[in-house]
Amino acid sequence: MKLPYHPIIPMLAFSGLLASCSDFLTLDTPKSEIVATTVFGSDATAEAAVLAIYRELAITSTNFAGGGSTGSITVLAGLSADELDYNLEVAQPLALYQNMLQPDNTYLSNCWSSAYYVIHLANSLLEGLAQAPTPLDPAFRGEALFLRAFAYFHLTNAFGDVPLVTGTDYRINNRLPRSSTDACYRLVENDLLEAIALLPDGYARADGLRIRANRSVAQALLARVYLYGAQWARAAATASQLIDATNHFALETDLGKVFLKTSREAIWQLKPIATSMETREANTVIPLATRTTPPIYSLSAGLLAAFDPADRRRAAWVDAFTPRGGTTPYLYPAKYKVRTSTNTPEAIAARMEYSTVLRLAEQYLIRAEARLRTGDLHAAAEDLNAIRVQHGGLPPLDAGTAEAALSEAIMRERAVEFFYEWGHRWFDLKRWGLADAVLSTAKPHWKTTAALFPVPLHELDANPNLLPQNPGY
Amino acid sequence: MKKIIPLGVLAGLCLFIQMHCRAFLPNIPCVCTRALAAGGTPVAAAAGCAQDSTKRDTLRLDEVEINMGYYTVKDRERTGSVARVTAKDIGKQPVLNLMEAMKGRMAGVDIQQHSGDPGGGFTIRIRGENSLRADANEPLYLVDGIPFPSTSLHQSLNFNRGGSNPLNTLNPNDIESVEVLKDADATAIYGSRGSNGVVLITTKKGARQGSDLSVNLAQGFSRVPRTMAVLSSRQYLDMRNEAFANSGLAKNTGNAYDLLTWDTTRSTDWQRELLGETAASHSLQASYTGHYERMNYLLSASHQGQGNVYPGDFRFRRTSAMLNLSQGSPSDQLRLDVALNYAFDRNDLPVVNNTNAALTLPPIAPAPFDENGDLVWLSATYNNPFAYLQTAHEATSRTAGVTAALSYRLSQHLEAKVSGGYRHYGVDERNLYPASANDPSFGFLSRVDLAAQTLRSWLIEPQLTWEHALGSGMLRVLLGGSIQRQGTERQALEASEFTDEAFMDNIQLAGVIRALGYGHTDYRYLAAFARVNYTYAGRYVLNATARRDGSSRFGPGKQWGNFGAIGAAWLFADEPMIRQAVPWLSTGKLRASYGVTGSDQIGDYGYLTTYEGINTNYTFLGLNLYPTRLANPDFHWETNRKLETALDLGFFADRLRLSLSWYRNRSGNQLVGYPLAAINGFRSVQYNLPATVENRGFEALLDAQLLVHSPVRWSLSVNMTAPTNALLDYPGIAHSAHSSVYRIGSPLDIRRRNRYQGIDPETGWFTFADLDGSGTVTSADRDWFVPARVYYGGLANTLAYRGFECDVYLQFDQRTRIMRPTFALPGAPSNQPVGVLDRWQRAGDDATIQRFWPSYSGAASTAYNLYTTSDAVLKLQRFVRLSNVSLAWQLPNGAIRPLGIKRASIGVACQNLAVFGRFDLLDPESDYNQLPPLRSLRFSLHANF
Repeated sequence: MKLPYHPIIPMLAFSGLLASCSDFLTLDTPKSEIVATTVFGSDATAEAAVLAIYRELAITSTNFAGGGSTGSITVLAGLSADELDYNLEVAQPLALYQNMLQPDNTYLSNCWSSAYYVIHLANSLLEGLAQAPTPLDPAFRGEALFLRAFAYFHLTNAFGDVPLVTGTDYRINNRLPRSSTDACYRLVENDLLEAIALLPDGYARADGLRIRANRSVAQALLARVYLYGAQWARAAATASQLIDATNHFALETDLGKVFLKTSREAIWQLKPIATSMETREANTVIPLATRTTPPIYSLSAGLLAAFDPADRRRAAWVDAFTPRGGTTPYLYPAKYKVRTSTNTPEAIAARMEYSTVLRLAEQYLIRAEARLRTGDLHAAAEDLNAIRVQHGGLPPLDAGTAEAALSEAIMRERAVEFFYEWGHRWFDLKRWGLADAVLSTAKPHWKTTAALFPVPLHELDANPNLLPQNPGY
Repeated sequence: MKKIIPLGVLAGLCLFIQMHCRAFLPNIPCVCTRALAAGGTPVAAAAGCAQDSTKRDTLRLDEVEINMGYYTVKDRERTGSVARVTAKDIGKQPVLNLMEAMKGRMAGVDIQQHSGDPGGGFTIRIRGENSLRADANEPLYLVDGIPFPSTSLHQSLNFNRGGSNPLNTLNPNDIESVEVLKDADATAIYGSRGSNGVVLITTKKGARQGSDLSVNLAQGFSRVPRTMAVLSSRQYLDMRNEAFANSGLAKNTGNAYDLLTWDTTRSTDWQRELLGETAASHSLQASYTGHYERMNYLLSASHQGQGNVYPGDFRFRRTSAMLNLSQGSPSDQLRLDVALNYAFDRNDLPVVNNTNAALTLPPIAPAPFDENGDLVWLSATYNNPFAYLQTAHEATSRTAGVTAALSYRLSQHLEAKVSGGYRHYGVDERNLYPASANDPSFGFLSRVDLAAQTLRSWLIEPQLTWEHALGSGMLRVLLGGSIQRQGTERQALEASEFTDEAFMDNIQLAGVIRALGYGHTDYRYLAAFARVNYTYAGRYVLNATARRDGSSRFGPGKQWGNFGAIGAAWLFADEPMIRQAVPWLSTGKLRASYGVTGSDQIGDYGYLTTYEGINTNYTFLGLNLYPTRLANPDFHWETNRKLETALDLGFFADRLRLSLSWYRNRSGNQLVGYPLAAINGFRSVQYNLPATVENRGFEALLDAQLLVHSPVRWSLSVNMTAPTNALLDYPGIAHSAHSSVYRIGSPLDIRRRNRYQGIDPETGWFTFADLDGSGTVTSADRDWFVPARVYYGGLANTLAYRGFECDVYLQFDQRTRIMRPTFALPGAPSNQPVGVLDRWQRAGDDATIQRFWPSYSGAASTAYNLYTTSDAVLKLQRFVRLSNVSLAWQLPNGAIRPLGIKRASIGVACQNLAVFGRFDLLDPESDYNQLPPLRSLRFSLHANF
């Protein structure tokens, strides 16, 4: 067979074939990913993006909010202050405990990076909501603002001046310099005020569980922000809104109930959804019965000495452990009691202890301190006594206690009430200006510059505009 | 009948070896390796299939056809740069993976083996790293023209083992040749995927005449080649006690659990306990090739297996089958080639890599088993290294492929061809973590992780070739197009909370099942390409190639790119004048090429803003959606401009051949995951970096048939590569995330390190230069450390005498590597290399290791941490590896012909026999915590009927 042909014919046919294929390169949207317009197309899918932020706080083992995790404020601040003793020899936590941090410490990096990841999730959400084709539930914006403020509050208290990231454009963000602590506080305050306006009251959205931000949650953090900022009147007024919300909150007099999901005292809790454990707080500090070595963390002698011998909290929230084969007992925080859990959906639903972030007791002590500073000693003593009596089981302080003694009492009360919770002690010592006085005797390697953590090395490497490093590193 | 008897004998022999090898194992290899370790001369070493060892042709350049992918060229007229390994070299090596057989044998092709585990990972770099993104330097693999994934689909094989290798599914003995295309002239026709070189793998084809049954049986044994000298019990105890004495710290069960709670009279050689087994391997292969009228065919089947050096039942095995058919019409106008292949492999490995434990477990560590043979648990102080025996990692991969090419000769000058293919590659993995693998006091329940990943790809490539005499030359034109699609799907499940370990095989009985992940990608690719080649008077060759590519990995408007190259060659030795003047110069060729190739090695969908879901038990109130990435809709092709010049010389009828080439590749528009500060939420974004990376180097190849006609025949081949690499340009590097990683004008593997300054004779701590004069040494005192120049290569010798053939292959290498003289803080509860005994003890000591200290604290820890990241641990390393020695004996015809055997040979081969050079680790190429490449001895039997 002889075909009639000219070389140009098949060549032309060939080019035509290729030209017709250009549409071929246009892909469908990926099956395993969801494009942003779909996510912000309805309340249900947008809510899934909101909930992811709470999940992130509760589940990641390196998160700044992760209770006893290797990046958590609770551990980093607890070790840095005079609250926790570190009993093992692992270099990274040991450096924290000895106040001899290096900027490449992974605990620091975990804390910083996870907080900024939460901020990124919140910023993505804020941008997605703003671009949504139809208006979505305004509470979502409120939650995003609250969560962002929550992360910034801890970042600035741990690291000092930090870059203020408020969008998702990496071309801007990766060149940001650090902003002053004041600027950070302004952002936090503005975010919280807007969140309070947007968020609903009450806990109906999570079936009564106190695990999503609402108006009270934002107010509780705002009261703390005002306290740290020495805005005494506002701190007292904001705390009063919570103390007066008796339809939601009351102090638990049974100390075994404070950290349960049914706690009336809780304002905001993280639902324990990590694998094989209830709260990370419990999983980290409660030693196995068979352990032959000291527990990782135990309570410092200084903290234990701060307890009045009759204080009920000393018995209820502190346990002793003696390593197998040893003789020395170690005392460890036991606010959370349940170390492990199975992972069936039923078991997860049945978990009782929730990692408590904000609770009413703090609001009493915020108001006590604010009133003290504004000279209202009588009312301050009243607020202090609410905790002293109902939690400590101690006799009330005399209403006529002098200012210095009352101040001393509030400080001690905060130490014994909030140990192993969210770095209260560390931040308190710093804001009271007592870090040097207290820690130079309690910690042999203490130096003034240790009050601020260094900015993680990888951050300075990736964005030189973050220089200079905090002094001393 | 004549053939059946010897076949039966072979099969029987094989069966015998299979049945008895386990019993023999403890003895045979031990004797052997001991002799080797003592430095004695090896008994012999050997060859597998010495198919054409009888007669070694001196092939002249013009007779060898080189596969360039879309076309072939006579080696003589080649304008591009190609390295080549053929079945002959591959078959001599007792290896499971093609990469290992290629290692060191090709100039410009740098192959590093990361682990001695069967199925373990390799990296291959062709003329250096072009991209700043570490995982964007893979070459394009094509098996019979169909793209093969360059990274493994395994999701969990890593377990700190340096990854897996997709070429595991290929049986090296099915491979006819591997051609590695290097320069622009050779790779530009692959356009956007040619930047990092192209590896063309061609399977064996049917014979054009006669028929042949080839049977190959082999049995081998492998062991860890050497042990590291670590502290004995006495030395360990002395170290720990000295550390405590130095520190003045009181011992308690926390800081001195080893001294206070363990039985300090124990002494265990953990390297022998954990890595000391002999791994047996076997290989059975048969292939039949023949023809039926105008159809040639090759049918091949093989089964291979290799054990592990770990105690326990862990094995790798692979079964593969292949059928290649080619049919021509009577006039040869129409031609059809079809290849079908299927391979199955299964890799069982422990879920932990115990190499680290073998080196660092103190010799006084407790016995792993109690008197009942049960695992001992001492939760806080002792991770039982044998806990892994309860666990298992099982990876099964299956690959099936079909390729077909139909060509039709339209006229004497014009041929049309359509080739295409389909490949399916699937990997199933199962990791079993029974409750019994954990300390019972943890209360863990049994868990199984399951993962499945599949890849499907198809390709259709229509092509036209036109050949016509033009003047006194020949013009060749090739036009083609390529349409490709590749989809991957990945799923991972976790089944946990089994009430009983016995239920673990059935995930229906799990208390909880959750989806760990799902992934799906679609990659589409479209191209048109052309080649124009003109050869004038057989002496002047001009070759031009071009390609226009479209890739779905880029956003709208950024999908298309143009690539092309031009190459030329001048065969000056064929000029009549030179031919007359220097008749002994048989080949003389100057060639040069320049062109542009690209790279689209970046993840799919990078330009889209998307969210991904997590829907498991561990969610917060139902579905949770997370942003997938920082999207950048504007990134596009990376381009690599390659320049090469080369000189090829042949002397004395090409008995001596020398090839020298110089290349320079400049890769710009770097498509990288640009590292970001964590404040961005993600640590990187896909981005075209305005930077240029240059790879430059020399390659030399010497081939000599030293003795040809005497009874002893000797040939020698040497290749050597001396590459350099530098970051040429990077606008604004000072303010970028790379400012502390790279420096303009320096190689990409430059590092910032603290400068080590020896041991303080007073305090006994490691000291470092305080470059900024701040009084303390911190990360701010890091200085640039430029690694030494790299070179690598190999030397092959083949000696033959009558029926004997002996091959010796040496591989050499020089580069800067990290070699830590310590495993942990000297004095801490970890075993150490004996080198730590050279420590500081009292003021004035001149030592190499700082004073012992029992725990990571204070100055000891600070100094040690700086030490591990200082320049003290970077060592220039040179070594020569006797990587293969093989000996084969062709049985005399008189003995085998009566049995109906055409040819038969027996052989013995040893891989990785010895390494010469200074190194303190188990192997100079692997990290201290990786299983080193094993030393293998293989006996083989080969017969053709």
